[in-house]
Amino acid sequence: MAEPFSIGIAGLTVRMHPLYDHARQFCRDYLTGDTEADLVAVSSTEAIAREAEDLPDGSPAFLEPLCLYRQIAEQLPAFGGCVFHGAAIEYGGKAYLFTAPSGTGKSTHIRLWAKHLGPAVKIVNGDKPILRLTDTGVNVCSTPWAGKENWQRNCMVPLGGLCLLHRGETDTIRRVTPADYVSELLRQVYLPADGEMLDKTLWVLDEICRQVPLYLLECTMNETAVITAFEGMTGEKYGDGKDENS
Amino acid sequence: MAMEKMKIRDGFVLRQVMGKSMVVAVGQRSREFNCIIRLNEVAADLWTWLTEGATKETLVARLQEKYDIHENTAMQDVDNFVFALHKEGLLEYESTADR
Repeated sequence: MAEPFSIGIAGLTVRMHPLYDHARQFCRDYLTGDTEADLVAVSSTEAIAREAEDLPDGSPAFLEPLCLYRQIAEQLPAFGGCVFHGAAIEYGGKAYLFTAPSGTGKSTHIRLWAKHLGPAVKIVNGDKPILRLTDTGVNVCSTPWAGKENWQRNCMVPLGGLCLLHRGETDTIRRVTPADYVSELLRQVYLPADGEMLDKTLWVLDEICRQVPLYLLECTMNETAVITAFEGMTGEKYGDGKDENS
Repeated sequence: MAMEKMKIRDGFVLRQVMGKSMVVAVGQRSREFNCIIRLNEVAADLWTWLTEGATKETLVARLQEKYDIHENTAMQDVDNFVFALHKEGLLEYESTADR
């Protein structure tokens, strides 16, 4: 049994009880000295073995963070949060979250934002951020779980827009009605196994879609994709937001 | 077949999300089944009746009663829906005594 440790994510303190030291290293940017935990995640060989069913090539130490995150995800709805599959960037004090099935091009798209808008764009999380409702609204919270590129920055940013990303021949963006995209959205949210937590998750998702605009972006892999997404969601003119020195 | 009682297998729940009827898996099922099903109004009724267990005949009769539709239409709706659920492995069967 490795040493337990605490991390701070989504404004919550999570006490982690891993079996392997790798977990602490994995969470290094989120370590906190707080010992009073809001939630607890305990690893076990059985829980790790269950993760191995999906990823048979992973070593137990490699799979352990996933097993710990699953436990966090199961409890988050009690705090008005959910784990969301998507890539989030920050611009102008607001976060924009792009979601799509793996392999659609979320990482490519946010890489284009960083490339063309320079330091005005900051990464939040490239793969599995937490969305959490607070008194001030919906926040995107970064986590150590950030995909193979490990694009993450320990932060919590108000969500300015949620965007369904589809690949297209041209670049278009439009605001859509969440109810028309329920299936698509549900596939990108962690749905807890526990019935009560599932109901809370559905409520959280409903609330997020009530508070934050949902967009459908059909895009290429070119700069025009950034121009379209940027202007469609921030309401600013693209050239004005561009950092000329980058 | 005709009198066979069908029931939705444990581990699936029907929920309203943003006003839409969605079926999602819970418990152990949520690990083996990550598909989300959206149901229209008729399908949501059929699903609800099937969670209690019903024969095709009961489903047809209840549909006819609620929507005031012809028996053939109701039968077709029931057949299509039951077939779709069966194909996804969401139904379990229990034979009644006179079978």
